[in-house]
Amino acid sequence: MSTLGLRVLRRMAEWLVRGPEAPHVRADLDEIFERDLARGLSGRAAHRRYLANLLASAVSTWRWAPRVVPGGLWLDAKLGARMLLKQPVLTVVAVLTLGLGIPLGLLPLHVVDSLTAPLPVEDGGRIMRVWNWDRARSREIRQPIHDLEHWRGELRSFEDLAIGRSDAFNVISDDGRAAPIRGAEVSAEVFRLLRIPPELGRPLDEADMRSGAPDVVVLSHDLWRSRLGGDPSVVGSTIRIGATRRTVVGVMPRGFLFPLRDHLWMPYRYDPLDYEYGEGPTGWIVGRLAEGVTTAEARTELNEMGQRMAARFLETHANLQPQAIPYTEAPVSGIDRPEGFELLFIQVLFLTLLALACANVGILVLARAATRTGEISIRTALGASRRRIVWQIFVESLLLAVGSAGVGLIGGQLVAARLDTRFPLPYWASFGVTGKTVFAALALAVLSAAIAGIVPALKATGRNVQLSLQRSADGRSGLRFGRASSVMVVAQVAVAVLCLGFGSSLVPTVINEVDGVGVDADQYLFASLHIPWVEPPAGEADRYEAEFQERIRDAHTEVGRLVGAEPGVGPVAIASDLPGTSHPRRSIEVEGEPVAAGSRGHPVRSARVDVGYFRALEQTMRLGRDFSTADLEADGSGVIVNTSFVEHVLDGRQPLGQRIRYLTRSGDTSGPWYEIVGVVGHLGMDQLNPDLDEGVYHPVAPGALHPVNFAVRVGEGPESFAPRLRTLVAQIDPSAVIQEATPLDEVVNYDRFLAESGIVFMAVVCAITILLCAAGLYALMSFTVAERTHEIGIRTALGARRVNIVGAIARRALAQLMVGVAIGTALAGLMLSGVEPGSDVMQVTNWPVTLAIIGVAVIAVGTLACVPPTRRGLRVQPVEALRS
Amino acid sequence: MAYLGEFEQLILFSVLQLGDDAYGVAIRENIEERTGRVVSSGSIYTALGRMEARGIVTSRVDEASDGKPGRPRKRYTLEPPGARALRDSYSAIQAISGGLIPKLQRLAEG
Repeated sequence: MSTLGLRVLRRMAEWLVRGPEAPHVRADLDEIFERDLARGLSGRAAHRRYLANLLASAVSTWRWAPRVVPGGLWLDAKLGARMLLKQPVLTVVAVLTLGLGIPLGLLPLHVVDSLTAPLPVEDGGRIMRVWNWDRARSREIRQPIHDLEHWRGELRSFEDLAIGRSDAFNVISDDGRAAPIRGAEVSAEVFRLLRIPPELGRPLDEADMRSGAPDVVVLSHDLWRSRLGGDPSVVGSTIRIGATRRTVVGVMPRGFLFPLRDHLWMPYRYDPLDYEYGEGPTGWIVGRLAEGVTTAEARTELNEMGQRMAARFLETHANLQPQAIPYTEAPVSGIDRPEGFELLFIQVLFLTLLALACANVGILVLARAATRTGEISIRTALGASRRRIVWQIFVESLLLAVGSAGVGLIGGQLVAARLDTRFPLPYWASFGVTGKTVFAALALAVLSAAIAGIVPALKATGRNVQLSLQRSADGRSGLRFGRASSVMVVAQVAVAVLCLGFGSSLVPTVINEVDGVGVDADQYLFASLHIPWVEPPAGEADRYEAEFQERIRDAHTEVGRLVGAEPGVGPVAIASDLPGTSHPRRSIEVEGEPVAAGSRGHPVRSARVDVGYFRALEQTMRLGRDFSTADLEADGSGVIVNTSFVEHVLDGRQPLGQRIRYLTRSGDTSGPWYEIVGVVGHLGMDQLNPDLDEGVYHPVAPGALHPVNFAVRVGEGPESFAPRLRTLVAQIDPSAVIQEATPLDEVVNYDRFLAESGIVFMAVVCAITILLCAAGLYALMSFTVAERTHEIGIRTALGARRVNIVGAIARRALAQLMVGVAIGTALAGLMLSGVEPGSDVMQVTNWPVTLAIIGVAVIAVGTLACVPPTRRGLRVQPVEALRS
Repeated sequence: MAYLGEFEQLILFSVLQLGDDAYGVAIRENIEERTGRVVSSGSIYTALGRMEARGIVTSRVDEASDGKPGRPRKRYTLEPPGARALRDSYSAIQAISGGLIPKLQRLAEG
């Protein structure tokens, strides 16, 4: 009974439950806990109930509590606000620091919470994803049709199990317009176990699942509104999906997009008898826990069943382990590792960042306190308790922290709104700020205030009153800018230099985009044609495969023919990767130049292109010849390289007739040789490093590329051609889906996206570190001036020159600034000198010059931060300084 | 005598029901079992404390009645002024709700 958890709860009860009845309330809490255990509740549940009762009791008994906080909270808050407004620079810096630190501290848990919110259905937390985990290959069995049959027969922990598969489907209107819509083929149990009745009509039922039953579909609310104008008599009408005309039998309510963001639900009509074990359509299984069954109990049953199956079907099931996880947690949870460990690690890491932010704000609070030591000493002398004064400084920090949390939450909500619309999140997830986030942010604000406020407050009040008064009378602060604070200032300056050095090496890679990709990308429409593939029944694989190849070949050829024949539209350029998109990277060796041991050969980008690719992109050969259909009939060993290839890989030598071959990761060179037959100009194979985009093009026959990616020259506003393109493709193959149709210059380039994200992140980190180092130096200078006001007064009275006074005030701060810059430059130099030239992401040409510029810039910013306190020092009037 | 709030009525009916056994845990369980409403121990003692100050209930501390030393139970008794207040409050609810329950039921069922 006396577990650690219970001991912690009891201690909490001692702290939180107050008043004359507290002993009885605490005795009741214990007794209820014992009763809960006695009636079979799990320890965890009993602890949870204890905590809930404890917190509610604490709130109820609070009004009886003696005042645990010193009186005059409102007055303290007013005074605190006044002090914060009096030094706006320090306040803004502190708010910005904590305003970033608090949301950062919340981030990991918030992201996981957002993604794993229970499904918005009745008892959504009881909907589970169930799968067989292949321990040998560390992956989920993606073709679960046979598992479902076994599980339905054996599992008692689930009241319903359903199966489904998602894909993109063409919804084709009567005038031939096609739109790609994500939908799912689902078994009837899906609707039963989710317990969501349709808004109109009926859900799919068992009869719909039978082979030969009428083709039916259930639509999402949004699809019904957008494609069918929200027609209330839609039930019974038909809609063309791919090659099939289906009768609409129902419309689901707004917001229901199960399993992820799907808008169509059609019957799942696959029969396990048609497939060998482990084959069949890819898909997923979901289940609802039976009444009264816990997740743990379901997992135990799955474990036992897994062992039985492994013993019975040694060949197929020896390494399989059935597993269940709450539906919304499936995408973010680890399966074969301790649950939550990584999350805890990341959470601690982010909280450490917050603690660093707090320590910085602590220095600022200390700087504030330094200017008030006289006031603090006088109040102490007049009888104010240390607790009272610490409390007041804490309230000030609390105001700062709560204000920062507010700023952080508003900023977070703005960012979340952008992320929600930009990323295709699952339908139940939203990164928006919730009540729980606000509560957690306030809790972190109190914690931050405690770290940033109480330590400096104790430091500011922990002195001998008489000594403080004496020092105060001397015009000195009575406080010391401790070694830890000095180390922190130096470290911040060093980190600022380091971050700027690192960030500067990233910037050129993105600025390079101005070079373009070799074609007028904003004039071209990019599209990706995808034909859904369904696993064929056993024995029919060859026929299915041949038919599928035929369809891809037709689509490839017909897209070129039909689209090319459209008025005002150029020929179609078909390739695995188009200019400006991410091309795969491979290593090659050139014949006659064996690769040295340990070397990985020349890195190049590669693409497989249609024979008309270069003509369609209006490219003329710089040397040699273009691809022709003869290249496809031969062994495909002719390749075209680009000018960067000739320049960097062949060092400008004559390229035609040279042979190259690819190296595998292990350095194996057993692949075939390819002969260079032509040279073409730069075509955006490596957008981040246009100068280093050495590339190789291989000819490819229709049917060998899937999805079929292509670009077509349209002219201004190429996206206007997208609807017509979809219609044309639907004519070629009604099931073929155009998954993307965007101007070529807007196609997501992941290399570029990563580099840009890296730059934004580095820019934010650089801005914060520079801000913090400036604030640290400002605080240090404020100390010095407050500490030496008396001395400055005397020196000025004795006729000291201003330059000497400035030197005396700023010496320490400037020394710390220099030491920080020196350390940061040295570390950044070490790091950048180790980066190989030609790296993917970082460009490190001329890094010594860059670092020198950064060093000077940081010194300039640091010096600037020293200016206001120095001017304050110079304004000290000798008579006033001596009089005070 | 002022009327009693709904929560106070729940507590007093429990005290009446439990008789000599009316102490915190028992009152809480009685309310939870009969009404399905989960209430905190603290709120029960707060309300009883308030009512004790008004003379509605009285209490006595009964040392270790379940044989466990160090866990005193504070038992409450409903006093005549409390009984009158409870009777009047409940009667008021009955008087105002008279004949309306079927209508309420129909409305609730939509």
